[in-house]
Amino acid sequence: MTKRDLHLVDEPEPNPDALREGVTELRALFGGGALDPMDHEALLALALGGDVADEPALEGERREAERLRAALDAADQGHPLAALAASLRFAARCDAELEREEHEVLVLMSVKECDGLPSEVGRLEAAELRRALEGAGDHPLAGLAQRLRSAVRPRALDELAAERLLRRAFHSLDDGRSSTGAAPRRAEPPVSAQRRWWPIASGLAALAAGVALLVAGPLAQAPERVSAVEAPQLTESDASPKEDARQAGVERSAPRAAAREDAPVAAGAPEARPARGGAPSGVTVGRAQGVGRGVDARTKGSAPAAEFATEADGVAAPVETPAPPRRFASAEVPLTDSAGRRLSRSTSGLFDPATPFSTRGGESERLERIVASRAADLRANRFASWGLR
Amino acid sequence: MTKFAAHVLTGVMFVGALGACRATAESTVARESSGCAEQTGAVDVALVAFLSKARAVHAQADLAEADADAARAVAVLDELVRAPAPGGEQPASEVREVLADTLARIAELEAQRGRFDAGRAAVRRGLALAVERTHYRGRLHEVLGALEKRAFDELRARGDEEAALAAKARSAAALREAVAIQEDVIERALGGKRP
Repeated sequence: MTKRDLHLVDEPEPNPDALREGVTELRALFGGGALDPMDHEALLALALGGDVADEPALEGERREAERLRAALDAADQGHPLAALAASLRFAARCDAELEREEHEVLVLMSVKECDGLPSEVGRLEAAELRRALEGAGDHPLAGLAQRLRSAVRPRALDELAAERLLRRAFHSLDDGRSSTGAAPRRAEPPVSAQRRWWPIASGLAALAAGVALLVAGPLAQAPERVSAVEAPQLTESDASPKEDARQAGVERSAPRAAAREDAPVAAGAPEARPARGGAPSGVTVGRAQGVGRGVDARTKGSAPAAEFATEADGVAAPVETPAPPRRFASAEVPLTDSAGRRLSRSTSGLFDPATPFSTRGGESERLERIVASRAADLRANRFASWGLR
Repeated sequence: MTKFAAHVLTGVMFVGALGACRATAESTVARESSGCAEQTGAVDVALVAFLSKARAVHAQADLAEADADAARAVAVLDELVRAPAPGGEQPASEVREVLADTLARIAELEAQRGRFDAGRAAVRRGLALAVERTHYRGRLHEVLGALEKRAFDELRARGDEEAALAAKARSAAALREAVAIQEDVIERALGGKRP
């Protein structure tokens, strides 16, 4: 009979006294020196489910197992390990509370070499562990025992701890606006004092905010004003001397703006920039040739359509896509809004600027990358909408 | 609280509110005039669904191209660019760029089929969407340059030298613009330094 044959052993009826007897027997075993190898193996099989060894059982082992099974069947406690086996099985299945000391002894058994452990030492260890668990001392196994206890039978969170955990996860909650209204709050000043001071405090705060905004507002808005002036996409068709003067003023005040990635002119006014290297842009060529007819009314006047109409030599194909806004400043758009949601933006950042798109193919690969990126953004936005960071 | 204090507080709060309103109004005007107002939508389900749909459509076009069936590839891609897209008349940047990329592919396929006018029309529509100087716009110009080069070859083979030279000029201009856009992209990536 192999250790696997122990599955054939019938499970006895739960006996509430068996646990105590089993523990007593365990203590006796600890005090009595090393286990008999056969008993040790049987215990291992009991603890590990009978899959300890795969080799064929020796004849002696088979006979020993048969004896144990017969003893358990007859419930006559004839085998020296029968009571222990029943106790262990019961202890593993029953919901009865262990005595603290017995529990600790079992913990020690499971994490330490038990062979030859003197009972007195075990008892002292258990007492020390108990004190550590009660917070009165320290023991190397206290942390492990706490984790075991929490894993097997976690304690309910008290209300305050739950509130703290929730507050940590949901940053939008604060002390004063708990949705339950039952959360403990900080000590608050008397109501009469609140009534006396809150109008003054709020008034002073409003004054400070107003003064700060009046003074600092124009300064803080200065870059936006620059953007507002830079943003118009001056095309060959709609540029006016006044706009030219404004544009020149902007360039004087912010000469590097156009070269920055976030500069609207660089991002959104492509055709206003002169072509480099002396090469005329498509607009110039088209104007010289006097073409550009056939542009759809919805796109007429917009820089890209007008430019291409010249290049395409007046091909009068209908443009069905509505003309987009003339100003696109997606490079300016921040990654997230004030609520932490990720914003729609250009996908250019997903691709290597030094590697232009191939003239042929590559669309599917690009879309793979775009979809993966924006799907991640969508997930993040969902978390943000739930108030999670 | 005395009556005097109440008056003082009222005045203080009025001044504060006035300042806040002014700053908010300035901020709003500046933001709207910079054209950012329409670009601040968060990434949402509709956008991701559109992008997923576009991916599937391009996969269909891949299969059609693998079968050397350019007409079918154009047909499935054309459905994507004709269908309603999130954002309506002011689509999100992602939508504009994906549509522009799709139109570039349509133009390239139409050029393969010798349908140069259809290809030019697709490029024109794409350029109306990809208005920023990005890879998308650069690719449209590059596709256009290749298309005009094909037209040049075909026209010259037919003996229409004048039309062929015009196509050649258009091809050269489109390719120059593609190069210029690419230089701009690299320049921005390098923080304003020329490559």
